[in-house]
Amino acid sequence: MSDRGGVIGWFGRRWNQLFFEGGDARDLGVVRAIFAGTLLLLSFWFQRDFPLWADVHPWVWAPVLAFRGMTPGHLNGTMLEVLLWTWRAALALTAIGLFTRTSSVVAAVTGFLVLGLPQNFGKINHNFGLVALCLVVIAVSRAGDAWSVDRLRQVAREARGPFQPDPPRLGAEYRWPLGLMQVLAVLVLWSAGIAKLRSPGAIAWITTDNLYFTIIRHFYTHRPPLALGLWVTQWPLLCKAMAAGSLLLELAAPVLLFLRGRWRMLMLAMLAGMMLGFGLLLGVLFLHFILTLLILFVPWRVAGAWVAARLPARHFTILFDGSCGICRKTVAVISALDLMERAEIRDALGEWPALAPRFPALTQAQCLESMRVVREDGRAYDGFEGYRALAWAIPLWWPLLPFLYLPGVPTIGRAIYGRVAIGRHQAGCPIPQ
Amino acid sequence: MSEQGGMSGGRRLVVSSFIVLVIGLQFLEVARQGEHWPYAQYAMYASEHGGDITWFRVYGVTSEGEFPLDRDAYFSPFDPQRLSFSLAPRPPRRDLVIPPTPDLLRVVGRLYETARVAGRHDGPALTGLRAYQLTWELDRSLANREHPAKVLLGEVRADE
Repeated sequence: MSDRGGVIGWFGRRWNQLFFEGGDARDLGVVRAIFAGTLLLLSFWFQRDFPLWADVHPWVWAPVLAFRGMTPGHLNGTMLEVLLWTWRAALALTAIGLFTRTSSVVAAVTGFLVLGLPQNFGKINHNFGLVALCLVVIAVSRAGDAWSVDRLRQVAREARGPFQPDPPRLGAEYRWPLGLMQVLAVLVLWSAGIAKLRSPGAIAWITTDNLYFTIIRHFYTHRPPLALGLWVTQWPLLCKAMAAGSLLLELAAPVLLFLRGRWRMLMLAMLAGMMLGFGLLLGVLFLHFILTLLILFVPWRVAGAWVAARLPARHFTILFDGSCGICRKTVAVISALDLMERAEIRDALGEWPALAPRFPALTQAQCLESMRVVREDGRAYDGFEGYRALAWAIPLWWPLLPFLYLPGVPTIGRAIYGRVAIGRHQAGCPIPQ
Repeated sequence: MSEQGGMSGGRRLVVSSFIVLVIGLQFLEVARQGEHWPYAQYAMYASEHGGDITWFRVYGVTSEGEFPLDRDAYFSPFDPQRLSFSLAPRPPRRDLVIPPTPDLLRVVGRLYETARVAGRHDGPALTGLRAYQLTWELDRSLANREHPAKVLLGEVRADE
């Protein structure tokens, strides 16, 4: 009885560790953004000829389960074009996190059709199954709670009281979707290993010239980009070693779920490297699977912090009018965008006694009239120049930087800022006396 | 820190059930050795390969002879592997529709011509198409790659 409890308890702890512990909305949000964005970019190459499936008739029609009952002869090129662009639009919205629930559901449904339709014509391409499942998981999760336009809009709506930095959203709701997608990814590799154990069998896979002949076959049936595969076949023993290594890696793939830190990165590199090796040696690259594997397992926040720590550190202090609703929304959004935590946000109305000694060149009246952005060297900016200075600290604004220095743009920017400032006063947000 | 993603016991049970279902379907696929997209057993290279290979390919016919249609651009959205799988003979099965080989060749010809007119490849205009079963003895020098043993499976004129 105690043994069963021990086993069940052990299993329960692993289950919780995989799916319910340590969830952070930012981890799920960044995976959502990168995954959807990557799919969108790749769709312009891999799905560029999707509407042409309407011209593939009559053809071998071997429908997968989800497409049974469908009649291929009624496919229409225009209909497929609309379906493809609907998918792309949904992916774009999912990537930026706008109307995330709706867009991710649409992306999952249309993606299932776009990725699934070609699987009915006589052969199944194993590159896209995991992708379709991940889209479904994202659609039913709370993947839009961070790293999303939806979150920025919510932050702005909720900025009513004194400024508070947007706290990280934690909990199991943000862990289980990522855990599930990670399990599905390693199961792809594990399943491939199990299939090799069945046929031709582990001993035959490793000790015969099976991989040797597989590599050479691909030079007859495909167009491998390099002759690397043929070069490797000079040494049949090397082929056997590679066969053993690939089988071992595939069967060991589930261990990746429980590794952390450098060990996880090492195993991830080995698995991704093995898949890349298939592409180089055989001319068959499972690009979507490789990228999905990396997207799911790379610790993006740790990677981002590592990069941020090595970037030139420009720190800013933002002084704003804490009684102004528009100003509170603005700084709340800026704070949410400040991923590298380079901006200190202070209320010039309520905190001036503590701020005055730090900023002797500024007066409270100046800070209340318009938001001031003060660099760590003491240089202060306001208006358009203030936002331009802040753009150096906010990664999402970096693509705008070259544009903000073009001749004429500052003039336009100051004019727009002036209109907004006048509007703020007229909208019931007067400068406090 | 803000606890926004907490889960009640009931919610945790529902989510766990969903997880078991999604993962369980993959295990079922492995157990049954099935292929029910998006699930699969992923038996890509899990088969015994000896020193020979049989493949199926379409050749384009011109006034100067014939040449293999072995580039994706010739018949996109197909690729040579998917084309070979489609041409290979297979046992009858429920829910499986296999048109005659001449019908398949006409579709390939239509895709080829559409792509040629659209400028997606620089192949010549065809006078006909042939489907072959090709067989090679594997040679790592690839000396015989352009000279397989060929068995004609079907032939159509381009204007049919």
